[in-house]
Amino acid sequence: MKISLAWLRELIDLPEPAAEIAERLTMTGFEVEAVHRAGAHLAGVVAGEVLEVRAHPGRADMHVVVVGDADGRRDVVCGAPNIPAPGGRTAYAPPGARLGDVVVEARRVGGVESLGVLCSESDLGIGADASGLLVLPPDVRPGASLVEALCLHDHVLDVNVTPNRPDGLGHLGIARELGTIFRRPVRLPQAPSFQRAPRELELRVRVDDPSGCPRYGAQVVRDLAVRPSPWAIRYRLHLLGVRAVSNLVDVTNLVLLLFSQPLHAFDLAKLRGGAIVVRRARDGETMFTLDGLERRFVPDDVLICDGEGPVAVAGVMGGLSSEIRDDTRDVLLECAHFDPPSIRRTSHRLGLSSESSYRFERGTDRGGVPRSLAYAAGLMAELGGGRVCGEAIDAGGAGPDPAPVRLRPSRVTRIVGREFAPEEIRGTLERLGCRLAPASGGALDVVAPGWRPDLTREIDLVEEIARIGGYDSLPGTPPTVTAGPRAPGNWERLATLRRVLIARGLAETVNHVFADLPTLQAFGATAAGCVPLKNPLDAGRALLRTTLLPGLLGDVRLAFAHRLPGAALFEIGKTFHRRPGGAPGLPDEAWRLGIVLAGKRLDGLAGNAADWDLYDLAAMLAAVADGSLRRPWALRPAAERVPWCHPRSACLVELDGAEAGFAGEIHPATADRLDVPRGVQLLELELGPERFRSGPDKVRELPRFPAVRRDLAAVFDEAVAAGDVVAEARKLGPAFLDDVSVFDVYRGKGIPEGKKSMAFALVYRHAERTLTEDEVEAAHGRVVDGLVSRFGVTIRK
Amino acid sequence: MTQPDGQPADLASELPTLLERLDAELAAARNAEEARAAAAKLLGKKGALTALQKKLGTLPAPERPAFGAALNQAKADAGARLDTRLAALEKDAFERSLAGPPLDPTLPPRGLPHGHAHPLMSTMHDIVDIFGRLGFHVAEGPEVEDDFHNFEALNFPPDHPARDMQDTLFVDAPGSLLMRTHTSPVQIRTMLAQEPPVRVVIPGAVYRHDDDATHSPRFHQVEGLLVDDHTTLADLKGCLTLFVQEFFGADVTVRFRASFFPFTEPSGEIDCRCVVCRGKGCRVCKGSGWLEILGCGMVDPAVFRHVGYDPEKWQGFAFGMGVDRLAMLRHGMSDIRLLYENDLRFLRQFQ
Ligand SMILES: [Zn+2]
Repeated sequence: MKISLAWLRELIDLPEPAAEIAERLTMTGFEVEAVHRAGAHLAGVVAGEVLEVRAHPGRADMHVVVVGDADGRRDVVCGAPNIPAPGGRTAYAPPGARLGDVVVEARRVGGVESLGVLCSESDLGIGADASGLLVLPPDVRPGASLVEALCLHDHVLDVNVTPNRPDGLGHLGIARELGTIFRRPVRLPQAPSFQRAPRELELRVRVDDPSGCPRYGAQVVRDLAVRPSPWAIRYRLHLLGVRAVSNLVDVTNLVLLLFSQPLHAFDLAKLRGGAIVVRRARDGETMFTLDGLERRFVPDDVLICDGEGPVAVAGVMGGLSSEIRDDTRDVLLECAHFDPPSIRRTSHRLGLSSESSYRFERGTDRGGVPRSLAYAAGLMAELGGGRVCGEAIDAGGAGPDPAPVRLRPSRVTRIVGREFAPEEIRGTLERLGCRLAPASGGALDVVAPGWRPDLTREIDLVEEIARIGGYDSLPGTPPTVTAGPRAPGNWERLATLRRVLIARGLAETVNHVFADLPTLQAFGATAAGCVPLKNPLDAGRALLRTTLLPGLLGDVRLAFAHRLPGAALFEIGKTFHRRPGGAPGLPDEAWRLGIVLAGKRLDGLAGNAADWDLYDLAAMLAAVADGSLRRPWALRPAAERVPWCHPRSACLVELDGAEAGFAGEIHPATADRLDVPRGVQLLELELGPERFRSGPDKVRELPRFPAVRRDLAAVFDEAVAAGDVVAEARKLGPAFLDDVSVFDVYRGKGIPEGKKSMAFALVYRHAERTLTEDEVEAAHGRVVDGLVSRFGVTIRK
Repeated sequence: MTQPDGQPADLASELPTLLERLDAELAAARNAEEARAAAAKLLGKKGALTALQKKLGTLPAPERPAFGAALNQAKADAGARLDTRLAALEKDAFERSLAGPPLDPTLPPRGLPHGHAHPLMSTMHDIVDIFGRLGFHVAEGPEVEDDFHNFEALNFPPDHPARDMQDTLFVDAPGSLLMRTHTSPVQIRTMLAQEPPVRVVIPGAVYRHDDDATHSPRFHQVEGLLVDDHTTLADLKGCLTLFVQEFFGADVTVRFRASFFPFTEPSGEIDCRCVVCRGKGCRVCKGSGWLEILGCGMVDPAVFRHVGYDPEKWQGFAFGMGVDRLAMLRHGMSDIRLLYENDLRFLRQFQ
């Protein structure tokens, strides 16, 4: 909301500078986001007297104007159609003057040197009119500063008005707030005085829907002439961001900006049947609104109708048929109070928001209706040269007083944390416009003024006392820390996990959660399993992600677009899954870890950089499982379960034997389809609380007897996994087979095609005694024989 | 038994020659192995001294003691000379191991370098840690919410303009689901799940239907809630001032001004003197000299009623802040989109 300081100063004494006023408003709740100094941008622009007008020697569309200012006569080239005759005054920017950010210079136009420019309202940035020069009154002294001559000086405050303060959407409300802050009286705006002409026609007003329209005021003003408003009004509207239209329309806007009371002006001649009826719409009823669109209504909408049908959508927008036009002579002014939620519903349903609906849906001052209506009627009659006819119609009236709110001073202290003297509490409330009555126990019964619909509860009054007293006056009590049980939860677990991954060399990412169906389907999602948005930002972001991989792969794409040689990234984030069978309620949300390793593994010398492979993923998995989850892990080949991974590297991840995710190189077909580089290694892991083992590690006794190691090398089929051999050896070995591990895999010279040599170390150790050579030989022999028969291998010596 | 070369004098006369030859070979030995091999020619199973030993029995009895003594002396000498040489060789090897040009320490280290923490996440963790030290526990909640938890219970009535403050992304599912517009619904879930006192800090992602240079459709907040039977607006001011000073440094100036949120009353906002221009006015603070840091207030009694707390008995404060903005301020960033692009060239600047 733009607020003119000059206008405020008509309503209240404000000797303070603009910055201080802005600061006080900001501290008490009307945040002033910016203060613009009006007029400051026109330094050096003056009133110029036209002394002589000559034809331009070279340009038929131009004239050479001899302008007189305080310094003498100067030639200025001008193409405007309305150059005043000699003796007239216009706005003149001589060389060196400023027009906003531009400094005017002398320049040649069609071979004639022009010493500066003559200006329109639009050139000067003080109005919308660009059709011709700004013509000044003849009594302005040539050479006088334009800013002084036209009283352009003002400060415009950009005030952020919160939804609870509809009174702040008008200058009077801001003036009242300042009156409370500075403890000064507010001068209520006085309407130009007028004589009421006798009523000349019968106009019946009937409100069929008093809940939707508790008060409907109307006034007829006749014999008006539509013409531009005086300069001062047009300039004020311009400063406040409102386009000046004509005297009649400008009056309704001025009243809106002053009282925060929307008005509507009907062309009286266009109203049929001599009646206004305020009622709910009939289902399917239609009307053309001012913006030229045909609107269709439902019974929830409140309409203003004449004797035959709708002429306005109550509080939202007027109808086209009764709009004020240049030939309008007689006007019916409407000044009403509507039910806020009803206006909001209609405005939302129609997708139609206006300055009126914005205010009505926040709440207007029902008690202020007669004053606003009289002010508007008087001003309209004055500016349009017309007559206010008959008494104003007032259907619904002021209504009953709202129930008083009981305020306990002890409550103020208890919530705010500082003592307030009873006089301070009473004084603040009275300055806010509340009526007070003493109640038992030192309490007050408070009736808030009509322009403060937000003050309905004790806590609302507590806030008023606190904020007017000033939050800066509060002591800031340092917090006391009460120790409570604090079991580490998800947040702490994920914090550790994140540190582990960063220490392993990965870069943390934060991706958006929106995706499209084809991308998610590439990773096994089904349409039925995804959570769709009702109003997505665009079609590519219509679903919530079911996997972290699309985001991470997008990041890889970006890294490659920047020609980075590699990217090792992770994200810890949520995925979203529709409940199976469309069960109602919130979708399932799962914390997950995603890892992508793309391009080169950049460690040590770049010349040694290798491609990432499955064993790098395994290393990351090991770090996560050992360093954070504290679960034993395994990878199990599962090409059919993970079809978006290369069939040779697709694996399921198992944690403590339970399936927890997958790992593998992206399937080249998937990579091509998603436009990401081939060869990217992918890992995704579920991170539910059950994945993390908690509690301290238990210590096993250290071995007391020596170990005996026997190695075993054999040639296996390619299909045999080292893990299978290890598992089989464990099965075959005695209880004192302490450890089995693979330490070499060899292919090539001496090994047939389709085979590989693998070497294993078997460590025998008894917990309670030293093993004899014979025992070890016998046990190892059984393991070797067993492996030979199980895998059909040949032992390498 | 007499043999041509069996004369004791002859036998004894060989000993110095053998030792001299040993000296020469030890001197020529380049390492311990060669030295031991040289010594073995005398002392080994087939060595010269061992051979002489075997001949001892062939000598006449009277000559045996003298020759035996000479032989033992020679063995001892040979052993000592070997030890001396071995020690010298070891010393040489040790000296050599220290000599030579230094390794090139400017080569890149082996193994993966340390990774990178995302500034948004680091900032969020730091904020949570500060409140953790003030006794706040972490609470989390779903990112897809229903109208009750996100709006209604937080005192945003249906058809109320306060809802316009938050442009909502709705989920296409029965039951008016939406992407939570703030972390505040977790306040409701926390209070519905437990009795007072409550002291939680709530980090998380939130969503708005908004996408431009200053707004991301997904961004992050940290929210806090403290409920007991005595905490006041003055306590709120003290607690949050302390937070701002912990986060930005103890010398930062803080102001506390009135504001509006549907779920708190009295409501306020906490600003700090612009950390970029020190209050003179700049682009970051839009010329005001102040930065909005967080919104806060005393929990509105209407919220307490929605969760079944007696507002006459319980009171407390809630606050919320935008993590993205704090991260940007802290790291001197101006475009929020950098936080969600995951441009590695950007991420690599953070440890
Ligand atoms: Zn600044």
